[in-house]
Amino acid sequence: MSSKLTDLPEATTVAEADQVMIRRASDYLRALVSLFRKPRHPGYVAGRWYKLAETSGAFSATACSATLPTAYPVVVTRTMSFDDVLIYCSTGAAGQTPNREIQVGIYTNDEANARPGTLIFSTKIDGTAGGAFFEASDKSGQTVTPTTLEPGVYWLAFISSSLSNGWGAFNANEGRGRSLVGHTDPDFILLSGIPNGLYGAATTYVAGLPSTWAASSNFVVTASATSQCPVVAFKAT
Amino acid sequence: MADGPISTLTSLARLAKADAFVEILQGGVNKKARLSKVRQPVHPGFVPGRWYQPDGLGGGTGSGVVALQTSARFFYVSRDIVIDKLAMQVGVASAATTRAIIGIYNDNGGVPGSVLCSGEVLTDTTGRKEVDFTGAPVTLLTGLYWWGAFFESTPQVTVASPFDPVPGNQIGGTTVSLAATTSGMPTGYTMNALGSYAAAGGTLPAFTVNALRVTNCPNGAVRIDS
Repeated sequence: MSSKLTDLPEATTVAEADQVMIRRASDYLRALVSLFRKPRHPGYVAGRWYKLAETSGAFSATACSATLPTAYPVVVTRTMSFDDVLIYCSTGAAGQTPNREIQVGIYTNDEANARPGTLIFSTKIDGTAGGAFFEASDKSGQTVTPTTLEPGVYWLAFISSSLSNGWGAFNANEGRGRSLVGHTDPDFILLSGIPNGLYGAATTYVAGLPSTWAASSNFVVTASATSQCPVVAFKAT
Repeated sequence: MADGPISTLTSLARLAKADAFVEILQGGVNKKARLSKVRQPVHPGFVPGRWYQPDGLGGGTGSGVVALQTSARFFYVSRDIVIDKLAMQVGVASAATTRAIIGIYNDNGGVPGSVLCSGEVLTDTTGRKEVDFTGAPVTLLTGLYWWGAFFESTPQVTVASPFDPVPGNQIGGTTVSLAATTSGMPTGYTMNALGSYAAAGGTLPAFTVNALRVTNCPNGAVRIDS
């Protein structure tokens, strides 16, 4: 850490893994800053699939908008590297142009506005049969870019090629995501419909998820309190 | 950084989460370095004017409450926030002109501590009941708190689900039932009943935990000050 001390102002933030010197009487003692963060996850095993706590729970078939991207906050509590993504398709549709297909993206968190920031990962998944999981790596002609997410807040985003029911979405009343988004109407919070995600600006499936998320005040809530967030999992490397 | 923790340090000691800063030696001069920023964000950010249910305050099951007995349930605020309103939901009204006091206790080592804020609402009609702090917004620093409620009568309100993993995990219980028709984990503590509603004096009573843990603690929501 000594190289970082040369221009240290009065109240500098100490980074993880830094060692600092602490004065006690006339002695200086080293202290490890890296021990501040307590693990919140047991660790990822290469080859295993993982869901994220904020988007987990019982699920049922639902529609995912073909014109409005949706995004859901998730918290990565331990460095996670993955090289594949899968989604549950509740109603398949082969032979469409394209086949029933969904684009999955991951955005940074825009801290100032509490919404998605910049798109840092994107892939597409075919859903040609109902009641089955489909992996991004199985999509013809597509290579999934291995990606590492450092601990922090991210947004999972989706846009579907078809408006009809096609993807398994988890119940908005389950998962920790319900406490992360908020709503201007307290009755949405206090009663059954709990917002757990945001709509983005209107677009088309062909245009895909935007590289940066436009401001939106719409929320992903329906009368049945079922979100549009598909069941998604990541394969750890 | 207080002298207390330093006095016990050895060479390669761990710093406590509560330590505010450490002094760093640079060219013979000691400078402060904050430690609180080391933690990673676990929330995307709170938007002024929106309502939120911090972790542990969720729920949605209608249930009766016990009159004159204060209950409190754990919740966690993952970022520093300033709130200007509290709210709960009444599903079945109580008798005319009967009231309740809702508010927030600070945490005191795993049980409700001092009263942070509270206010009175009527429960004799159904719907959302708000306490307004817009004249004096309340700051909640990152950490643990307890949502408290004290009822004059017995309305039915939305309560924490005993199967909600957040309060259920945090409070614990001596028995567990997996049957959906019986109780899950307790979601909150109660204190012994007061003799009358007037004894509370319009604010949440000082909390003394008794042996009874319950599953019918009201849920609630907070509005971020705008």
